[in-house]
Amino acid sequence: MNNEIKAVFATVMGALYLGFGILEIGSWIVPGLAAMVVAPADILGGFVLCVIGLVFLAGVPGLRSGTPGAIAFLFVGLLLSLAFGLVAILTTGAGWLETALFGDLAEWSAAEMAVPMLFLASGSVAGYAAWGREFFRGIARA
Amino acid sequence: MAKKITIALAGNPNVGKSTLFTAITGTRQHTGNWPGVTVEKKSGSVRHRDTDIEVVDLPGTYSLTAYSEDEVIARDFIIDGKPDVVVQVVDATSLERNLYLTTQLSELGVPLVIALNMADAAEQRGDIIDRKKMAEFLEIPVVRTVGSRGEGIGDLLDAVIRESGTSPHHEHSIGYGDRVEPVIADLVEALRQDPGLTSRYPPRWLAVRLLEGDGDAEKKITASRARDAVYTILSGVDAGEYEAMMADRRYEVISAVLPQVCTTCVREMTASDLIDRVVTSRYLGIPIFLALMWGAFELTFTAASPFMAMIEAVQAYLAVAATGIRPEWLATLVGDGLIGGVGSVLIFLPNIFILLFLLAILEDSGYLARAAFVMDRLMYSIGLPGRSFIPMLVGFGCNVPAIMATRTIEDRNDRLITILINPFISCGARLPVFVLFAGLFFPENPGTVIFGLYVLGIVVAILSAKLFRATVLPGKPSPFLMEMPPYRLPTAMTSVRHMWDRGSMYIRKAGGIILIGAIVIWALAAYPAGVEYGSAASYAGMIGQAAQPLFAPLGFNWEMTVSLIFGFVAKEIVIASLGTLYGVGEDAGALEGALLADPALGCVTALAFMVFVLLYLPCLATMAVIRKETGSWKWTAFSVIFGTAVAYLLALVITKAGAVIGGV
Repeated sequence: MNNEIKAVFATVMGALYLGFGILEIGSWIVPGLAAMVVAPADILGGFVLCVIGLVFLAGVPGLRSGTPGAIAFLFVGLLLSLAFGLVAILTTGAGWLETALFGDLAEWSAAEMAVPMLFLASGSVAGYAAWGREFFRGIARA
Repeated sequence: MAKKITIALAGNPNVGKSTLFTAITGTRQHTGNWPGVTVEKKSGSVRHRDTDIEVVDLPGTYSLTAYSEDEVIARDFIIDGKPDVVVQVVDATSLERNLYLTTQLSELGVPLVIALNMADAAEQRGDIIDRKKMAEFLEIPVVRTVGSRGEGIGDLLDAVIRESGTSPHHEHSIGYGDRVEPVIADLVEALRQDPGLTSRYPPRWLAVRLLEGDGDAEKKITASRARDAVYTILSGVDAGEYEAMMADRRYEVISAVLPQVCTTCVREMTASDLIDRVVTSRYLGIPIFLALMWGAFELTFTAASPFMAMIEAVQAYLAVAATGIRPEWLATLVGDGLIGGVGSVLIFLPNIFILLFLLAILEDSGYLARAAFVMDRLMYSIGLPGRSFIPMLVGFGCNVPAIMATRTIEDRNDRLITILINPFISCGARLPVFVLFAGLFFPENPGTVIFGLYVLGIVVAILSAKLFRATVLPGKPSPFLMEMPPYRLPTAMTSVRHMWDRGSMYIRKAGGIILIGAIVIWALAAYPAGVEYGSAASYAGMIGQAAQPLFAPLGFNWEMTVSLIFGFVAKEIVIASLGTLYGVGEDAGALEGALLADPALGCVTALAFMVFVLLYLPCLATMAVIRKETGSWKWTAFSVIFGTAVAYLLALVITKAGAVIGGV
């Protein structure tokens, strides 16, 4: 049962990441598409989303059949998702800080935080809260 | 009269071989060099049960291929030195890796004894190794030893004497499967045409070596009458593919034996193993590496932005304060020379420190070792060992320690190629140029442009390696074996310390060579007396205008030309020169404004300039270390000329392509 939930979670996350990744790449290729979808025109950002999506999806067959080690794809997917979520927070946070210090905060909009790399990572926070500790407890501090 | 025998101690590096050698021979050792090479040869003697035993310590090797000098020495001694017994020292805590060499030694058909060394460490962690069963499976005597305490030495020497008295020995062959075995059989048949050759080398072993594309084995048959028949068979064989198939088969055999001889050696996968399964995967490994590098460059640009703005604000304040200094020449020296020059470089310290911090996190976590592993396949396919990737990664910080890091590469040609391509890897000193120009001329995707430049540096390095391998430095790369450290959660303190260790160098440079460079450029821009500062009539203007025709096809103006000339001292000086020549001292944003307002500069020229800075001649310190590490002015000059030619060519291609696209 637990593996089935993980498989469903990995499928949903994988599909979302891959979908938004393709949209970001598409928005970069097709001018004007970015305005119609919630995805910036960013070919490399899109590539990163696709990679995370593929990592999640690569583990789904193994999770469904109970193959030992398949869980690794789910956890590395979570790890990458959280890492790039942090990249997105720091990127938008830096923009906010610069505006706060040297510009007019009224010009800054919270909508700037609505990037797929950030809101998709919130799903991984839930995944990490549910299963993260069981996996990462084996890793010591440097 | 006492019997005399010779034994050779073989084994992987770091298995306690030297300790065991000392435990066996005590003080009766002598050292020298192996014939024709500078590799140290250690031998010693011991008398045991009326037998005088001469012990030769062979260099540590992971396999018996001919990729490194050590492997050739070990192999030649076993074949030509004809020791009575070979003792393979095996690390009991790492059986799987060590048994690979066992499979190759067995194929030689030499009398073999396994010293299961560091057995105490294996036992302490709960491994239970059934030595009797292991000996039965491998058909080789297995003796428990703990070299550091001298345990098992008597038993080992007993086994050696017993084994030296038994004959004949047969080869313990691994079946390599339906596709490989018929080719081996054909080769053995062909080799038997030369009985002299087969009496010297076991024919099956030689056939396997030839099939794996072993250059040293090929040399052995060049004068043989079997040569033509062998070459005919090999002409239809992809050596790389067969080598991989045979290596896989050896590991299959080891994987089958291991669980039967050791009850706990095959452990559950750890978290590190599980992560490795994904990040070193054949299909996902490289995309994950590229994604992480993109994340690092994106943060390098964006997260540094507020800190850059803070430094810029301080710089503007100081520049205004400098206008009050008297006499006036001192005011321009401080304002235009120091604040404009050195300050232009200091602005980019946040970018450099953030990039180094992120690289430190990746390194401290253990990921960079995996990145080297993942890139090994690609590196090998272009003719470089995976080991070359580590100096390339170090090169992202600074090329000087990166070139020194090539000392770990044993093969001369591998090392030379790695040294020559390292200047193409973009060091931190080039980052300010990219941040400035990408931010100004590609404001939509500066992080992507910077990432692209770093990737371009890697691509040029790889293509150059391929070119060198095909022309001036031929050969085959040695295989890459490295221990993967377990993953660790990097702590902020450790990563900050690593960042500071590497990044503080840039602050020291700002107060040293960049300061001097900025003053020199200021003087050249301010004199002869009476000329307008930074004008074409100044010395800097004269130098720039004299050299500018060379760079005119690339669209670079004389200010950019001067900055490139002085950038040879240190790449940071490119920005310091531009800051000084554009006279930005009184206004921190003036350099950006001046560059944007310059009609000579557009997106295409900016891109060409960044590519030129990325690839053109290495800085003075890098040149000095290339000279020192290669021991050759010829290779140093080659590095300078080749790098500058590639930079010029690519910048020209960009300029021309931009003109064509812009014209359409």
